[in-house]
Amino acid sequence: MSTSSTPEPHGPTAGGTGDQDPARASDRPPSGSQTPGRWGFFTGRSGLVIPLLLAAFATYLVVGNLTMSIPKGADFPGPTFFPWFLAAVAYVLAALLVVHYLRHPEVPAETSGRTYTTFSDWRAIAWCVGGFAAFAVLLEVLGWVLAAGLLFWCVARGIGSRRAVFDLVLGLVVSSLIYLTFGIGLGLPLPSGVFGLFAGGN
Amino acid sequence: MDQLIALFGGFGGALSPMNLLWVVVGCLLGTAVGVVPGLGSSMAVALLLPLTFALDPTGAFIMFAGVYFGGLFGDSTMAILMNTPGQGSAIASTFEGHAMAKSGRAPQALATAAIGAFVGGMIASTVVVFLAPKLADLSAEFGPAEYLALALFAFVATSSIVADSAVKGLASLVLGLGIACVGIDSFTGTERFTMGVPEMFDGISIVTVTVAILALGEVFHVAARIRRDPEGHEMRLSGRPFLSRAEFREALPAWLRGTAIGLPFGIIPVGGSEVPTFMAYDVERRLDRRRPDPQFGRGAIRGLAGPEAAGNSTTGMAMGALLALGLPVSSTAAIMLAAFQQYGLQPGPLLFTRAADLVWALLASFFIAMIVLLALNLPFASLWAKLLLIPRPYLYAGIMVFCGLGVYATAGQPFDLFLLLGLALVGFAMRRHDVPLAPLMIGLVLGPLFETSLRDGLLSSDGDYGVFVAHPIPVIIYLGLLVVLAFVVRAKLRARASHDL
Amino acid sequence: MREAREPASDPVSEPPPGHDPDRPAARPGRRRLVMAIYAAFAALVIGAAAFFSVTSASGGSDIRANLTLIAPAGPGGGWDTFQRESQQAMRANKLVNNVQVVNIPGAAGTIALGKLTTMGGQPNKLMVSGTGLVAGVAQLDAPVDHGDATPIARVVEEYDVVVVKADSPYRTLDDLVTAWKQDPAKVSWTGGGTFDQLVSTDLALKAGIDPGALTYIPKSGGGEATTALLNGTAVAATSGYMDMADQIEAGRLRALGLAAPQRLPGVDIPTLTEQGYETTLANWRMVVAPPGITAKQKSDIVDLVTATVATPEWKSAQQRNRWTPVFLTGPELDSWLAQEEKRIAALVEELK
Repeated sequence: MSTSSTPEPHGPTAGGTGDQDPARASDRPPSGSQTPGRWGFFTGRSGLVIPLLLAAFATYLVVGNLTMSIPKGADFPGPTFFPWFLAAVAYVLAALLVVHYLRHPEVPAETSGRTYTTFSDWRAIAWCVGGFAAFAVLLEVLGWVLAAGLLFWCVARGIGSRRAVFDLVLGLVVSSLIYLTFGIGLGLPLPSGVFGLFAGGN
Repeated sequence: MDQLIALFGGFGGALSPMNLLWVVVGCLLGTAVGVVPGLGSSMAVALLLPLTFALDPTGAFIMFAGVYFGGLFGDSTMAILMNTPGQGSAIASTFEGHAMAKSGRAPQALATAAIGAFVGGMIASTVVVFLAPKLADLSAEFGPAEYLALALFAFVATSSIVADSAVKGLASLVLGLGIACVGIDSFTGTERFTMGVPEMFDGISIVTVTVAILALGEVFHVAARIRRDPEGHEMRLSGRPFLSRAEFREALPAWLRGTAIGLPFGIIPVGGSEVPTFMAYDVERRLDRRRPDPQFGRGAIRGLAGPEAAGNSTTGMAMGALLALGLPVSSTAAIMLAAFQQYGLQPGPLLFTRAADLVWALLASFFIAMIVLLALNLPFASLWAKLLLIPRPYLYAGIMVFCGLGVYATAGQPFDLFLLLGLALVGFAMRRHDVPLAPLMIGLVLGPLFETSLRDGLLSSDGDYGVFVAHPIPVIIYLGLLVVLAFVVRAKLRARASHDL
Repeated sequence: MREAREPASDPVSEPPPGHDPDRPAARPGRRRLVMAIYAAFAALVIGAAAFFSVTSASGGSDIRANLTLIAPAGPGGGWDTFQRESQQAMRANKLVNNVQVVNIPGAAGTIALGKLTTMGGQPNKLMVSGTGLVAGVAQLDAPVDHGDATPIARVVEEYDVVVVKADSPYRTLDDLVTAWKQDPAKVSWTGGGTFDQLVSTDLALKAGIDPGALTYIPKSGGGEATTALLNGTAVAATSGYMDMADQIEAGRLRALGLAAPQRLPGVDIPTLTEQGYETTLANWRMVVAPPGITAKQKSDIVDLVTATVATPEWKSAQQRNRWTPVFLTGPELDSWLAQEEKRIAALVEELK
């Protein structure tokens, strides 16, 4: 692998240790050129979401600064000084990033040989994100064992497993094992949820 | 010499068959909890602490040392194998460590990490044994001016991580600095950017951000791609589980350099061991670029060995600072402090005179725990690497479940899970568009240090900026900063073409 | 489609990582056996988890069977220590069958207090509260206060000490206060938490200094406050005596006065009151139960707390943590608490 000459599709993940030279990336022939009809302005420019995010965050800081109730007699630099500075820098960077993405659209490298209408597999992401959102909502209602089992099932399905029943059992086994080790063995407070309804007590 | 005799006395008390059993149990449990993203070593200590109460003090300490260092050893395992670090201190290990794992050298990477942690921890413990009482005086030298200088220095010293793509790196840094602003401002009691949500009054915990951005974001990223190009996500395992002699010789200087970088950070509280791990990574990377055959980017063993040694030498020294000063520099240390008090040990300047036998037994336990961990982890490295043989869907599903466990368990708040999901989507978007994530984490750690030191200094000097250069230490740090900057500029001018592979 | 094939290769259960999933099952018979073993294992594990889920939710009103102690802060702090010491004392003396500590950190403890008020009618959930939480309620305008829960008993309290660096020019409290009066901006204070800030505010009021002019550099914990004094960031500090005692004894810090009603046994530090500043705000710890419990349940809890503080383990915890026992329950507790809430709220108002 280390001597392979094909470029790593996801080399720079956490730290960007790899090549991020946009000029070089655009040298590559766009792999999706077979389906030109589907390619519009935003193709390769979905990266604009990053400056959008940054500008939104800067706006959040600005609004927060303006609505902040600062006690009388706070010395300089008060609680808003640093955020003002950050918001200003963030706007500048967002503008620079917009220019960057307009001038250098990203063309994702495809190694599988097939082309898809979207670069990202949105269905898989939806399973994972939806599964986690459901987990967060249902955790205290259903209890750890069921909610975590469900999360496991959703993610496994999203990433490509197709054995629904087997996965469900496996998910419950994993969540149960965690419950037994961490909840019962180590005393982490994991909710019982619906199981609590079967409990005696009052 | 007195220290040596006292230490041998400590070994005499600590080395009994029963105690050895406890240390093995502690190491195994600590590693197991440390592996879970979001739980990490501090949670390992908090969870397993009650178990040690049933033992006599020596037995408890030795098991405790096992848990403490076991958690640290466990931290980097998932970072290397799955690119999902559970704690900030393991982030630097993902860069080259995961690249090694991807190229089929997972067992070697884990062994490198284990030995690095061992080297760093051992040297730090030795330094603690001989210098602990003197540390107290050194740390008293560090005030706001020194911290401000240090924060600036650390920003520059980790700049190569930011500078790959300057605009994207800075954007990530600003996001991190901004996230760190959320919460009640301790100086004025003002709520900043909390939207009135009580769960955000204490700020967004670094654990939540780490797990969200790095672990969950990675799972989403993999989910988005794995069916598009399965080959790019395949993991290989080579047959050879251990480091070759050449690899060992390659890693050795990095272990030692990392240790040297990490040691000073253990005494001064700069938010745990993230900063030294990034600095060690940066140093190794700069050195690598000067070599005729640069290795970084495709699994350089030095890029893993340095940060691992740095992280553990920092935590080892932090233990010394805790004992000698009674200053808990991290949440883990705060829990340890409570544990020591349970046995009538009050860490602080009087500890070594008041409870000498217990302290030396504890220090001896550190050494024993470290050796046992190395003995356990080297053979386990290839076993852990076998995790990669689990089918992908189940592996990532398991990681998601553990992320949920780790974040929910620390505070028992469903709100944290929603925060986690929101941040994870940010992390996914950043990963998708090649925005480096490490600067965000650096900003999260260094931002508060910078802001607090600035405001501390100005408050105590009644608004006089001269306070920041009134002492020799900050001046020396700023001079060093100028030298580093000069080098960076020179290197940029001389060879713009020296890229990583 | 490749993805459909890969995970289907072998039904390998997650936990034993040594298992090789790529090896196809040799014979259908063996495969069936593996599946059967797996099914049995799954049934066992899930069944056990379900069973424990049910039992951990039961226990109902019997506080002696199953008790949860809530610490409204993260592990390692004062409230956490209080609950873990209680847990130890209850366990060692078999006062309660099963007792666990749960940390609910956040917003000065008001999040935990809010949670407690939703646990109506569950007497087996006990939280510790204290001066800092009362201050937090006032400072954050929290939607709930202690009136929404059931205060059980005040148990112990701790006192702050006023300290300066050992080589400081201020040898007595009067020296310090004189200099402070002259130029409030020059005498910066520090401390390890909100409570410490309240004590220095109270001292300013009693010394006739405008609390708005107080320069206070907040630190988290006594250790950080000590460092701030030693490196000259702050001139004086109010911080828990427990955190400062060793530094004072080692000669690194000088104690100028104790913010306590009377001197502590064996401690040669004059109180602030003795020196003419009547600052007696104590850092007390109180046990609180959820709202909506019956009078019988309440008296059961009072009995349990009374029994706990009588154990030798608790006595030793008091000594180790330098807690002063100030047990108070019944109607006296309620009137004392009302007074204390008023006094703390007034001090918090000065910080705003």
